[in-house]
Order: sequence, then C-alpha cells, then structure tokens
Amino acid sequence: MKNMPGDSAEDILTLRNVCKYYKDRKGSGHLLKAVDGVSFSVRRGETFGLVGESGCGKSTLSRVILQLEPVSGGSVAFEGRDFARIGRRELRAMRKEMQIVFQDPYDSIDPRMTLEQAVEEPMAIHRYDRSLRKTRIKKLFEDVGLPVNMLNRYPHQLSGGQRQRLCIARSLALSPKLLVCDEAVSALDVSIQAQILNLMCDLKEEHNLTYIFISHNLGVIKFISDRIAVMYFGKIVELASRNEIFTHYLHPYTCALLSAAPVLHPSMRRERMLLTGDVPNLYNPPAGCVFCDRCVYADSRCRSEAPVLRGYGEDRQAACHYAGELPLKVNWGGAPC
Amino acid sequence: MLNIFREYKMIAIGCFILSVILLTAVFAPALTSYGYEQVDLKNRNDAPSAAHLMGTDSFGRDVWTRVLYGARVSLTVSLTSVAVGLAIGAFWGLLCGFFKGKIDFAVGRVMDIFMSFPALLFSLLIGAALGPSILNMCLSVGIPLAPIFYRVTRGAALSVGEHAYIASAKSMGSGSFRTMFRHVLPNTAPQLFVVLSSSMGGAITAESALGYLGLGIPKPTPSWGMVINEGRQYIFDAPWVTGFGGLMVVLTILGFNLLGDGLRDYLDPKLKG
Repeated sequence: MKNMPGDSAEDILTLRNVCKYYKDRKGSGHLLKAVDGVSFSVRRGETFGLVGESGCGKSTLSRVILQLEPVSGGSVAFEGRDFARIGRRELRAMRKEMQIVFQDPYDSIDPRMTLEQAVEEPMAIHRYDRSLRKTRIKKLFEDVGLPVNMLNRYPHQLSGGQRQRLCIARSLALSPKLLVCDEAVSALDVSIQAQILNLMCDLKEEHNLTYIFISHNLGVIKFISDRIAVMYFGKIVELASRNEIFTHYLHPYTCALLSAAPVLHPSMRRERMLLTGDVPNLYNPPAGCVFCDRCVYADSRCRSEAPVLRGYGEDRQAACHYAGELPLKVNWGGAPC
Repeated sequence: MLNIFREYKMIAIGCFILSVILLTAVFAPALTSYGYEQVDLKNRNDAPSAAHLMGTDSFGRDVWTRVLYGARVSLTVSLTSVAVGLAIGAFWGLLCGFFKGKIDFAVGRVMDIFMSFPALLFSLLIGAALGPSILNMCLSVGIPLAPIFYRVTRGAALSVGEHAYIASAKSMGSGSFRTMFRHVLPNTAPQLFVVLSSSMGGAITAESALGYLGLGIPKPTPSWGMVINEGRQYIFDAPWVTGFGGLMVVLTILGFNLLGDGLRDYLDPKLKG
C-alpha cells in the first residue's frame, strides 16, 4: 500500500503509531489520550498540513515530534533515525535539523533578550563561530524582512507580525530541514497572516524546507499545504492531498469540518452539515470509532469497532468503516479561502 | 553610570544613602574622637550637643561613635546573611520550579520544616549551635531567610516555565541548566528583587534581636541592634539613643528598597526606550 509510513528515502519524518497519554491529575488512574495511534510520514520538501478543531491533539503532536515531550508509545523517526534509540548528544545535534514556530509570538521570545541575542541564541548553543553568527544574523534578518537596525531592540517593541518574523528567523538560524509551524499565524491579524504565509512560502524555496503546518484555519491550510491530515480526538481521520481532501473527502468528520468553514460571499450561503453532541469525554472515549456519537451514519459496527486508517487509491487514507460508501455532500459551495 | 542615575532617580537616591552609610562605616575612626567603648560615667544619657552629636548612652558612651562602628557589623551581617539566604533559597527554588516532580516534592517538604520554626527561634537554634562570631551570625540570620527566597523563586520559576520561550529554548537544544540560568532566572528577577530589598531590613532587625538576646556579635563590638536595645531601657530619659540607632536602620532599609525598586525597573526591558 502506498503512503503508509515507511523508510522511503523521500520521507523526512516518519511517525509510527505515536501515542501521548497523560495521567489524570486527580490520580484516578484514567489516561487522557491526547494523541492516540497516529501514523504518517512527511515527504522531503512538502508542506504537510495538520488540521483539526481545538483540543484534538495537534499541538501535543507537534511537541512530541520535536521531542519536547517523550512519546507514550510508538516511534518518531527523523530521516530514518528513531528518536527513542539515540543518545542525548545525538538528540542535541538532531535538534538542529528540526525547529518549531509557536502560535503566540508574544510568548515565544524571552522578553529580556534583544532581537540580536534571540536570533544568536540557537547558534550560540550549537557553538557557531562568532563572526559567522554576526553575518548570519544579518542575513536572517534580511530573509524574514526585519530591518537590520532593529538588532538592539527588545521584543516588546515589535508588532505581532514582526515578532513572528523574528521567531521564524530564530528557527531558521540553525538551517533546519524541517520546520513545524504550530498555529504560526493564528494569533496574527488577517492582513499580517497573508504576509507571513507568503514569507513562509518564499523561505521554503530559499532554504529547502519541509513544513508541518498545524492550524485550525481551513483557509490557511488550503493555501499552504500539499497534503493535509485531518485530526479528530487524537487520531488522524483522513489524510489526502490538498485537492482531494477539499473535494473528495471520505470521512464524515472532514465533511462536517469543511462545511463549518465560513464563506465570505452572502450569495454563497449554503446548508451545512451540523453536528450534534460534543467532543467525547477525554477520559472516557467511545469504544468504537471516536466520531460515532456525532456521526449521522454511525451503526453498531462503528460503535464497537474502531476503524483503522486505510488507503483508498493514491494519496488518500481515511479511518472510516464506510469510507467511499457514504452519501457525503461534496463541495459545500464556495470552498474556504 | 551617570545616565542611569539621571534616568532612574530611585537608584541614584538609594546609592547615595547607602554609599554615605558605607563610607561612614569605613572611615569611622576619622569621623569621631571617641572610642566605641569609651565609658564616661559623668556624662550618662546626655542629650545631643556639640561634643556628642547624637548624645551619650547610659554608660556615657558617644552614640555617634557607636552608630558609626555599629554600621560595620550591621551592614556586613545584613548583606552576608541575605546573600546566604538568597543563594540557598533561590538555587533550590529555581531547581524545584524548573524540574518539578520528585525533587520539588522532597525539597519542598524540607523547606516546610524550616518554615515551621519561627524565624527568630530558628536563628537562636543555629546561633546557639554554632557559637557567637560574625560569620555564624550571618549564617543564623541567613538560613531562616532561605525558605522565603525558595518559595518566591519556585513560584516565579513555575510560571516562567510555562512560557513558550522556555519550550523554544529547549527545542533549540539548550540544556536544562542553561535554560534555567539564562531564561528562567532572569525572568524571576523582578519578584526576587522585591523580597531581596525587604529581607535586607528583616536581616538588620533579626541581627538586633539576636544581639538583644545575648547571642549576637560578641561584646563590646557595637551593632545597631545593640545600640537600640541598650537604649531601650532609657527610652523616655534618653530617646536619642534608640532614636538615632533606629534612624540608621530606617535609612539603610530605605536605601536598599530604593535601590532594589530602581534596579528592578532598570532591568525590566519593557521600560527601556
């Protein structure tokens, strides 16, 4: 089957059955399954979009990918090297290869560092030569569109967009191969979002980057991604190329998610697939499919047996027993973005 | 330096007060013609006059002289003991707030035990165990301060640790100790400065309390606490003894507080142009 996680040379990052569980704080012994059995691989040079509603485990997944938190199960491998099997030193060296841009640019820069120090920090950690650092800082500032005369400013003197540019410059300082953008534009004004997205597209070419782009914003995801994975309640429910997922989705949750995206033009107002109920209780997930309580097509099989992510033709995977058989309304008139 | 003074008035005033007190302590012999234990029984409890700027105490000793020499002990003890408390408390607080988990629990309970003693009683205990000397004095005043610094640092470190810039540093390969000292510690500084300047006054008072209980600096070396306590019995007949002794304590605490607040502002990047 194609596109199942494998060690193909073009895959830069491979996740196999990655799980991240948290213990209930009250000590009841229940496990909170923030990420549960996620497998996918990211190809070199692509932009891999990860979309889902808040609380579905997107950010936890990004933290696990970057080894900010250990996995509870499964494995994450970067260029074929499994993080669980490498030593501390190697992990430190590997951190150079993958970097993250966080959601809140107001929170992700140390307020006591000047812009220069902030960009220099990763290079100082990895013992770059001093003169090299200076030239690189200038280059990075130019690359992300920050004026070089701002080097001695402090982060609070910047606007949100400028701060996010700084965060990007910082994350590019070590010339990483993979950049994880965790809601990187969500905290910005819409006009600034567009600027930053364009900047990221340019930087991708210039620096030969691979992106994992996490967002709840379908418009943004559609704009930037090559392939898109839809997450719901800690699991990937559907994964397909951008064009496929916006037109030929197979999973009822994808259908509902796309129908929920607002459309700008009033004449394009259309019916929506409204979901009833709420996201399942985190400590007491349903036995079968995580979506069965809210899915209008669910039957007894869905309630008892959890569907696995299966391939449906080239570049399409869905985790639904009845994928392809359901009468899902295609094209909700005026797709987002 | 001058620019700092011009911009941060509080630092300027604080530095001025403290440096005057420090200079008088250093040049005490040049500023008085009396010895600090020079008894003059004919002139007991004399009011301030040209001969005795701050009057005399119940032994006829010159209060001005005793205050000058007392500054040496009081400043040394307060600075050293706060440094001792800060070093112990802030270090463990930082460690616990950063790593959380088991070490936090273990150290936290030890600090709880320390805190369950009244500070003065705890000082007495340490002082009695170590015996009277200036260094032991600093330890016995400083160690009971540690739990306060511990609590403040730990709390601040816990909240700083939640910021994304800590995760960001980690994702760049910054080691635990580097992250702790380069990112967490500087960002807990504002809270630390508040406790720092207020505990300076506490240390001076604790030193005088110990002196009063006879566990202070070995006599006859004067300290401000001793001056105040000796004048206490004659507070209605010779208020200048406690008064001038107390005034020095107040001025010093004021100086430290101004300096502390000013430094906090100075170090806050948000207040920089």
